[in-house]
Amino acid sequence: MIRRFNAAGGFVRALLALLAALLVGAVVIALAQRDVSAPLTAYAALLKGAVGSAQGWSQTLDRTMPILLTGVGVAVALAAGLFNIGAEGQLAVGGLASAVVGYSFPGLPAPLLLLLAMLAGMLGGAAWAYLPALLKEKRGAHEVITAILLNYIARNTTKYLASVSPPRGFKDPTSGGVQRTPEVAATFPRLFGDFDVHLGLVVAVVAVVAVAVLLRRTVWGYETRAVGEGAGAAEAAGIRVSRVRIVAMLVSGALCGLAGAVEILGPTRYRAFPADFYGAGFGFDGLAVALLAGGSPWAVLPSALLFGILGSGAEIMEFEADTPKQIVAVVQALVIVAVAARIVGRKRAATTPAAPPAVPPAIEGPSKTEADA
Amino acid sequence: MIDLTEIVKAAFRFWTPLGFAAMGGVLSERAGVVNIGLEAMMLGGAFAAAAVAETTGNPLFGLLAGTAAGALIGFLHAVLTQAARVPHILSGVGLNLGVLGLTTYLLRAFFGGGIDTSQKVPGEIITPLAIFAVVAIWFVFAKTPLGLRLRAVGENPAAARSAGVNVTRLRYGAVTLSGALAGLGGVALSLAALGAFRENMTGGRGYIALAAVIFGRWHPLGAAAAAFFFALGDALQQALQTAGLAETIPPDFLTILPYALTLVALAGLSGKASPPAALGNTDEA
Repeated sequence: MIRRFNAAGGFVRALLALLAALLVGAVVIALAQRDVSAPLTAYAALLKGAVGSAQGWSQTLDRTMPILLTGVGVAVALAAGLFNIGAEGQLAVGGLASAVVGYSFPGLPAPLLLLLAMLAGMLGGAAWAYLPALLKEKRGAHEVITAILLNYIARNTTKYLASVSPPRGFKDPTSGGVQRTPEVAATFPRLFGDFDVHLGLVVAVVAVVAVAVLLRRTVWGYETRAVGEGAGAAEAAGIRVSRVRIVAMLVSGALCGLAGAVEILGPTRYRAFPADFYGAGFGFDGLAVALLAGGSPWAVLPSALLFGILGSGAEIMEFEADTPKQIVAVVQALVIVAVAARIVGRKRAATTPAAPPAVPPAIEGPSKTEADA
Repeated sequence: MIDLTEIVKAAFRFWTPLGFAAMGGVLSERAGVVNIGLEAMMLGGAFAAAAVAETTGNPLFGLLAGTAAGALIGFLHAVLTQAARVPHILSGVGLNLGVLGLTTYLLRAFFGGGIDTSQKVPGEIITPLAIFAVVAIWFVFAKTPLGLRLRAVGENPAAARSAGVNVTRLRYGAVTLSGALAGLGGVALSLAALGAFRENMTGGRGYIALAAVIFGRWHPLGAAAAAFFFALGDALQQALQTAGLAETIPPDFLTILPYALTLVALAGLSGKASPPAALGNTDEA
């Protein structure tokens, strides 16, 4: 019962934060366009575009799909007290790995090939996440900094590999000036007729549910959360903190890599890995979604959908209402900050039983890791 | 051929924005506030500087506007982390996302997607200013009572408070000034070298500055040196590219050089890094 009340409170809070963020966004639009009705026109176009038609819903869900996976990926790391800012890089590496497997074995039956390509994506993402995890545990290098550096390295390496023909890279030799890998031999089937939304969405939702259940119901989940709540206490309780953290980053990276795979393996958007794949923003959206969800995997579902709606509606808004789509990024930023803000005041926060923190305590400073070691 | 003096000159040019932002990072983090929002403060500063310099036709106004914009975002970070108790990384990520959105929005709404201005602040002025900032920050931390209080606030806010230090006020001041410094870094980026502002112009330099702070072990001189190390790597890779080495080493890999060097250096040297003890603490001290 208590948990349910808390969840409801969190929902109300998120809703209030969203309303406040939309209001501030509206003020910016009204000021910039010197027209009081401009925000209404813009928001109406956004909403109508994102959820006003079957086509809109299809695009919204297609956009939500990768953010679900990066969101839950970042949430797993958060649960262990780690901030996986490398999601974008892991997504790119995973995407490339899945594309290479996807075009290399055209003889395999489609379901098997898709499965292998997804597995490759997960391995690629996990490998890229392993580096910051290892550097943190072995060398004490802060994972946020190393992951940021690795993002740039991922961007340039995947760009290079997709723009140079074999044997040095994976570029399709027949694609001429277009810098991309060959097309994959199998893609996910669409879910409804001709609409964009495809089986990858089901994969993403299943992954979120699986992580949510595993994190709540298994020993692995218990240990991960214990480390996130306080590494010192976890260590004292006999949990191998270092190992738990590395596994959490591996799982996080695998989920982000899987996000890259479902993007590449979709029937419409990519089908091949382009040189400019890095920077589509689904990794950074995942960070925001996980923070908005307060690190809870279940809350990733509505949070990712919100970002999907705002993201897909923004394109329509820009086209229909002539409002630059970047205003949506402002709204998203305001939402995540507003949700975490403890506006109730210090005294109350100190005396009443603390609401679950938006982010596990161990995340709040890099100092904790060194102190525990 | 590769000209060494040109490389060093270029390194100082690349260093200036990073050096400013890194000093902002040191100031904020030594006072106990994680500042991943340096990126937002730089970007806001770069945009405001270019926009105001071009609109008013006066580079000095641009410089002031850039500094003020950075300070404003810094102040916002202080409010969010100190008054609203938002976890520091979350506040920083939110600011980065929001300022990127806002500057791009304003750029497209008012400047047609890009600002080009002839109202520049010459590197001969802004680079010495950055060196001065390093020396000043070092001096404050090493030699003044204010520096001692700031360090106390970052190491043990509860003790500082019981010794009569106004922890909250000092943190507000430190983080706001940190934003002003990062804003100056943005000015150096948009008004010094190019005289232009483009979407997402900082491109992650704020993160690199933060890496320099950690690599430099939260010491002003260490952070400045780490930032220079990165800038030198960047200058070197550009020199290699123009020297025609692109034939043998692909440019994509040369561009990686400064990031890879920093990563290797972090992996090799950061074993015993010890951040301020209360860094990132959102609880009541």
